[in-house]
Amino acid sequence: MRANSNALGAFAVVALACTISSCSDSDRYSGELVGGQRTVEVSVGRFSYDPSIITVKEGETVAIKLISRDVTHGFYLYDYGIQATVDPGEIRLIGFVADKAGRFSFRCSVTCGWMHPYEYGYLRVLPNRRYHAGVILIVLLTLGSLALAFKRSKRSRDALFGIVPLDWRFELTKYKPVRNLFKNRWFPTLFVVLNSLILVVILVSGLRGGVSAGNLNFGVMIVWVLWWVLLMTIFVPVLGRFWCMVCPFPLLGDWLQRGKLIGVGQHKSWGLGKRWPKRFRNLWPVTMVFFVATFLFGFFTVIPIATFGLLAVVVLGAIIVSVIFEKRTFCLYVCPVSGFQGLYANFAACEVRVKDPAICQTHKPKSCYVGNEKGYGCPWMEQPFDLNRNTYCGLCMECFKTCPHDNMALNLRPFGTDLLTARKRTDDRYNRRGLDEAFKSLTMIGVLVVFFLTMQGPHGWLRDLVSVKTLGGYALFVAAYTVLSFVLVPGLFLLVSYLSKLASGDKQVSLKKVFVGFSYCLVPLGIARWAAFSLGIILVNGSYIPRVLSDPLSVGWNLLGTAGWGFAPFWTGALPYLQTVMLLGGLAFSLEYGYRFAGQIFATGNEAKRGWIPMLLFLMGLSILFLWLFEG
Amino acid sequence: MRYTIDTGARKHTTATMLRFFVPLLLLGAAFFGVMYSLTRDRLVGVTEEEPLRIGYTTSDLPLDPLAEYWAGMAAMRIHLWPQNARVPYGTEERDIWVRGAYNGGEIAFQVEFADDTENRDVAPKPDACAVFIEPADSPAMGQMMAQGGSGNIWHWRADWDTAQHQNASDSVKAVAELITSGPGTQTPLESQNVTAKGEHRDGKWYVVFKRSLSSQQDGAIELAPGSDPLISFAVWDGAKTESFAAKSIAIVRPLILERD
Amino acid sequence: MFMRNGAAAVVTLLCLAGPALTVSGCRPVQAEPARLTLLTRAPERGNWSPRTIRVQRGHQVTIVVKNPDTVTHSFYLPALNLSTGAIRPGDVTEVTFTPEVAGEYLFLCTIWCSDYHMYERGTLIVE
Repeated sequence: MRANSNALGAFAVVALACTISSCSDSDRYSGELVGGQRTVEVSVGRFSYDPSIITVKEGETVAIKLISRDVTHGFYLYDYGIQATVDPGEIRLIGFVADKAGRFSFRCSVTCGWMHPYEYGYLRVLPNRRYHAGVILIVLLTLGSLALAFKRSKRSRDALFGIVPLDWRFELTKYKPVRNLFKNRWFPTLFVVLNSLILVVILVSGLRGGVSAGNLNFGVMIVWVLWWVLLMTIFVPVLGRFWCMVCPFPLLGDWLQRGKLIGVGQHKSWGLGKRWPKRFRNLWPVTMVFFVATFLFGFFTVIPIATFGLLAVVVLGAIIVSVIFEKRTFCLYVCPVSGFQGLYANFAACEVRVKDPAICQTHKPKSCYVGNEKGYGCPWMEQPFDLNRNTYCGLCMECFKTCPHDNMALNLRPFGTDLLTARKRTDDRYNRRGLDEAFKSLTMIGVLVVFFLTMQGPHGWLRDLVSVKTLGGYALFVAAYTVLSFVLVPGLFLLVSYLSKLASGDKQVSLKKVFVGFSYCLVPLGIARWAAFSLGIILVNGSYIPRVLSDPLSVGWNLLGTAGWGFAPFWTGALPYLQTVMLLGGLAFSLEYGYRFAGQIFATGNEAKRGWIPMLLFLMGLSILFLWLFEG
Repeated sequence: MRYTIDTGARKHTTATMLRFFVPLLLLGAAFFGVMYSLTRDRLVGVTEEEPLRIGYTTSDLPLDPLAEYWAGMAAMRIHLWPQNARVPYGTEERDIWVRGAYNGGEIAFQVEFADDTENRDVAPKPDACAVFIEPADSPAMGQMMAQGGSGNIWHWRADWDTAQHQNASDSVKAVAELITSGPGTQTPLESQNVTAKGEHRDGKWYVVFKRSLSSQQDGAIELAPGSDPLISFAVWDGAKTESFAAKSIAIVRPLILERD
Repeated sequence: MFMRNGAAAVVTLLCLAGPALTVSGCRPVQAEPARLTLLTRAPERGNWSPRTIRVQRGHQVTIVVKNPDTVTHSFYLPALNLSTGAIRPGDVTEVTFTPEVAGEYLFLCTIWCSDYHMYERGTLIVE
């Protein structure tokens, strides 16, 4: 007990020191202050502002003299709501009183090139109180969680935050209409077909859009603003692989394999029906596909024809893989967005599970796995009777149809309970809780840092590298990005895992077990930071959507009367607060589960407590890093 | 149910990985290749501007626009376009003929352009002509549009020319030597070292600009063989009330001072 | 034999369809081209399209200027003092006028749009 309180004290001192050092405003202010007015000369060119970070003091009258280095640009300041445009050759004077403190992004408001939506700069109105408050909250939350972890009762250990029991479930399918819906063969295929129609419009608009501005293109906006944000803020965090349920891409492959679109046709694929290699029945392939795809994000998130190309490759890939391999091999092991959906779905508050395992034990035909006249054997090659994690469950609802005992259930549950679930059976088909999932989790950190800095960061040089201004620069980006994601971040995590092992004093535990086991506490925080990042996309770029909805094919229609709508971000003032809350929420879950992982990894309770501290500090640091990225 | 056994799988790992990653990387590279080529510049209707080459001479460079010296020299025809980046825009396309030479100490240009009316008064507007020279490494966005550039303008005006004639003193000049760092930023140089003289004959203006090669003042561009700066020209027609941005301008081109 | 028959059929079809198509294709040209679509793009991404437009003297014409590019452009016809002002990417602007004098006229973009802005120019031919 004495050792514990000493450790706690030492930790508090370190945490406080971190806080103080991050709070110091040693920055120099921008421009010149004459008679209470700070004048800053800013030039803007594709795709950066110079200076890209403007620092002023709260209450000062600020005059920004904006000039263009090349074409017509704009200036939109978050929260302040100031919008201005500057034509080349003119000087635009933007005056305002910096009466709100904090960091405010400003970005271009006039389409000026492909990377236009990523042309960002920061206005820092010091003191940045809300950032400091955020850091303090993160530290307090971490300390509080640690204190709780050290004096937890047995009962509170079995409940999330000591409140919601981990085994709490609410079965949605106990309602007859819901169960009947899931048992209907038209569900969810009808929605898949509807989504396919939208996909066709997206493909056509992407093809027609060619190399025009992505932010004015239906395909680019629907996919990268609407779909991506829905995926990252609602679908994945709350519903799991909900998108997989309604995703249009496997439709043609399913049809080819089954011979029927809605009804039950061929149980054995019309194609080759090969089995995916055993060594690859994990998240490694999708991790790699996603990562290679992100090399090209400078193209396909901003250029219509590139979005078309990417989607076309996915459509064709889905068909080809479905013809060669069995069932949903494409979705499981090839689809670029399958990896993070699968891993993060373990956090979701929804699950498909067996109601009563006893019924399954006596039911020998295993129709949920092999299929019957009512439906197909699990297309995701899960064993529904034995399902205990969401990673590979695509919510296709076939098991509801094939189960003769109505023994499947869609449950609401506390967030994240799957994270605690380790390999259930030694003969399990999937490698669960493995390095693949650990690396999926870890690489998502580097991806987000690079995405955020490129898409919403102040660095024009990074955008130049990503958008392939020069081949050499692009090669540098690919190399640095790969090293960051696969070497530096995992390396740091390995170091922390090693420290954790040392601190625990557990000599028996393998480093790999610590590394893999603790990697799951990155999941809630990962979801939170992706949701926070995505929120910044929709609040700011969402105003492009009404415009493209009115004229999806850019042929001059005005279906909804919104074709003339301009760039009008909303709630940009609330954004930093929402992001702080999201990060804090994610961290709370990470800490809540992380302590339990420690208990799973290390042999004794005391070892777990000691081994948990380095990881807890790492999570705190990671949260502060992302808070700094978003607001600091 | 089928359970596969892991033994033996490991030795196939390399082959499996190659089967998976090689196509993936090839696909990525192909995608990159297509997008890379689609996003490169494909110039349409862009022609390279021919450099203005001027020769070396040992003789004096006459300021008189009608001097035999200029008449005997081959001229380069340069096309001027309506100024189209700043309000008020230009409206006219015209051709001008430029001759130039330099000797040990000085450089001179003669600009010849058609203009039916000789407007030497402030009203409606005076005819005018200007030479714009900027360093070779100026921002690509030239044509005086770049903020922070350091171009020199030699601005000759017919009304100033008249005043110069009448005054016959050094205090009144027909030309202003200006430095510009962007639109609306023209400022006279401290020491005015350019001299100019214009004559109107047979519906044409002939204007000669002359300056020492080395200017020896801050902001003035140094001219020497090998420095190869960029040069452009502008013409205003007073009869059409052209002034300020309403003018015809040439696209910048290299100025080459040929060695002997 | 079949080949020859096939070839003959193709030639016949061409002979029939060709003039028909030509005639039908020509008809709109002979009627007044009341509306013309003009794309404005920076020279490195295609320049004006088409770069030459033909209109009839004394007939009213509407030029629909579309900006499919990623930067702001405009349409400016100095000889007739017609100017659209800025056309933002994705936007469409119309200019209507009646050319009275035959000849070739220069049209330009007036918003600095690229290093090659000065080359974004086209020709309007009034017949």
